[in-house]
Amino acid sequence: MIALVFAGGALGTLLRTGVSFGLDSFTSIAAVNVVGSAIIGWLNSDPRFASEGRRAFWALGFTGGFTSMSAVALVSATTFAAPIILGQQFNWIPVALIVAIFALSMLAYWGAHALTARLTGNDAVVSHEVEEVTE
Amino acid sequence: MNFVYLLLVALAGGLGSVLRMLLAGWIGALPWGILTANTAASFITGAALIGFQNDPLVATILVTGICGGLSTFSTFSAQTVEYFKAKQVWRGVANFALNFTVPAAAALGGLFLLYTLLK
Repeated sequence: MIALVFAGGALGTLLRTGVSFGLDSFTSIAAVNVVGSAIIGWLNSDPRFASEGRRAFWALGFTGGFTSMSAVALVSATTFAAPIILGQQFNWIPVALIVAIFALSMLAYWGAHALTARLTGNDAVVSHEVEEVTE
Repeated sequence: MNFVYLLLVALAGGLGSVLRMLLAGWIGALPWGILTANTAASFITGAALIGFQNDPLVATILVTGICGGLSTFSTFSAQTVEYFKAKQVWRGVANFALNFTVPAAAALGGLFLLYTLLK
């Protein structure tokens, strides 16, 4: 289990690093988080990924390593919190873009989950991690 | 970035992911373990960017590798949407609000703490 999470996380991190080479910082952060949320939406409703081993590698490891909250937090801190503290003029555009990352990521999860449920005919969440959270 | 450099970042990401897995089981009224992982990773990111600004290799391994692996956006998205789908609206709102603000505050805290210590 630990080895699978480690391997999936390493692969996800490698892919995220690769995406960051081809895009500017903000676009790459938005891309990995929206795409990663869509991937976990698919994994959470596809019965082929219900086994403990596949969930460990793909859901916990790969998508967790591919997406990054700390990168979003750093962008949030430097684009809208720091200007307030430093007394600079507040700019709403970065705030709107960060809110858009959150909104699009959740929409991507919901959309991928709904689409996979329709394609597989399985409407139940196959992730026990999700079931534990909503209990 | 050469092959060895990439390999070190990937291995650090694997390590961060295992640490996140160990924290993820802490679930009460909200998924506190994931919030803790996201907050800790954000604080270390802010601190490392200032503390290792003259050593980009170490900074990249810490920030892109360990902190990127330790934090997760996909699990946050999944858990928040599933709260709303389960009609647990206030838990969804709280999970969204906490993950939107606390990691950002932690990143800012890490930046300012190391900036102040090294000034």
